[in-house]
Amino acid sequence: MILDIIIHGGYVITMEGKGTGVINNGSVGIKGNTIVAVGTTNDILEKYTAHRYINAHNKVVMPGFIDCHIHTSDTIVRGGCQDIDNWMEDGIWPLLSRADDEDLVAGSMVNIIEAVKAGTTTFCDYETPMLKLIPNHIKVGTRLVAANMINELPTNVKKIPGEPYPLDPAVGQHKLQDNIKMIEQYHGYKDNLVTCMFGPQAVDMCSTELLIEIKNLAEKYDVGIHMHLAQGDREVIQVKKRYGKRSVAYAQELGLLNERLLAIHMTSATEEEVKIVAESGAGMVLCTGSIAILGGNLPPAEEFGKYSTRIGLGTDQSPGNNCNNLFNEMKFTSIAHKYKHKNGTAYPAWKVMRMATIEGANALGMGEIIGSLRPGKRADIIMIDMTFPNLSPIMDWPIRNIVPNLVYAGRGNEVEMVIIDGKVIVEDYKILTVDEKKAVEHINQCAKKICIELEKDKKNYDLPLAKWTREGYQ
Amino acid sequence: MIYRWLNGQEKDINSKVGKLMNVDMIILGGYIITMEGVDETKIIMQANDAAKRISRDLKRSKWSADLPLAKWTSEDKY
Repeated sequence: MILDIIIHGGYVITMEGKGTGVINNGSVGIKGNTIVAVGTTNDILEKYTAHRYINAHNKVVMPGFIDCHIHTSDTIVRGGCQDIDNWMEDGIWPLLSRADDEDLVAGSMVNIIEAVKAGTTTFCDYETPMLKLIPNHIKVGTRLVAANMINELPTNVKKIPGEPYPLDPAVGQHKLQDNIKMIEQYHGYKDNLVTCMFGPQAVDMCSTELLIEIKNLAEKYDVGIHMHLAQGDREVIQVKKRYGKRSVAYAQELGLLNERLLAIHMTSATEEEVKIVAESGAGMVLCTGSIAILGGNLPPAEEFGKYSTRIGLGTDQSPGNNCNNLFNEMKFTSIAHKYKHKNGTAYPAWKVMRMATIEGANALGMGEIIGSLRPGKRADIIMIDMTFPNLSPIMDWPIRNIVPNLVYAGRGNEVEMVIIDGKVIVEDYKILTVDEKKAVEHINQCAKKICIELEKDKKNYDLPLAKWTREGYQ
Repeated sequence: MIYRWLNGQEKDINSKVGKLMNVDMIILGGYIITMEGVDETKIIMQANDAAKRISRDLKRSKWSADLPLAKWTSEDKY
């Protein structure tokens, strides 16, 4: 069989088995969008020929990273909201309220470029208006699991702190209809390169009727539900005030806890609630960086992991993380757990690398399609140059240091090649499918426009970051 | 002696005395590590060779098999 590509002579990290499944001097063969062969270089080169050969000497070849929770368009206000007490109301909402669709699309494009160049191949993008952002992913060529974020929040929600939000069904219906339109238009696009989910923002931000409607629609369209759950005290307080119970119990009562659910954060869930969600078959996403930077918390992934292996990593948003780079997320996840337990053995490198790849795929219910290098899976592959000084030297036996070096010393700029669905998207460290420079120029123009709008409204003078800017702190 | 100036130009201090008015800054009196003639690839390869030697030594010693990372490597975690 003549293959399209053979990547040969590298350290192939398959992510198969219980660990990371490394093959020294390994090769991977690709035909179309599918991996057809993984093995030692001798075996592969004996059995196959290819139209293109890629030499991976001193390079790592591994599955692309899976970002299980990302709001790409929020990048339009990167760096505009961290280090403050009330991130949502004094941070991101006032800024995003000044952004129009063009700004959000510009933010999303730069974020996708940033992440792809650092080895992310699958994006669970979760935002409104997702219909406007999908073309960005298609242009770049990423694997996308899209969810349109649905809520019924009025625009003046900032003025009603502490009280149950007066939910507006018209707002929710509009966003729900967009989600349905998105599913009908894109779910399964290009041999499932794009798939879709429903995206209720959280149980405190949608009415009971809307949540039940979404649950029924998810069954009808046979898609998943991507939703923040127990994402903070505000949510739990809101739900308790409205329904007299905590948010996990409420979600359970509505029948939302099952294999379709991708539960994001769960920061405020008790141990018992974590067990209930995990045992329901739902997946969980741990966004260590964003939750730490915004609230100083560590979500209960470890507790979830006692009952389930469906846990992936997410980078969340760049205005509050502040980068979308899974190298960063792997290292931070490991260190945060070591710090929590005062124990250096917690969350070793191999474990967090699994979360960024195969376990993330399992969390999405896509473990048979992506997340590891195995014949029959989609060719979502990255190649990393291990001769960067920060990744050197290489030791391979009796102690192999490659995975620890990637997790603890990798930065993302060492990703030399990115292949998604069999197509080369990044080569020689450069993105091939879109004009990176133009995208950065565009986002800067949009950000300037937002700054001008912010300055016009005197209310924004009191935003913490505006004060700090005037006072010369940033 | 060759100095590398902040604007990226190299100047011979002996031949340029009296003609230095155009530079933005002069840093004086330090130990200048020019990094000229350093071959990064060669250094990385030397580090890799050294790591291979260390690995070979480790393989020969029985005690190394009990090191946690050696166990994890043999268990396919790394």
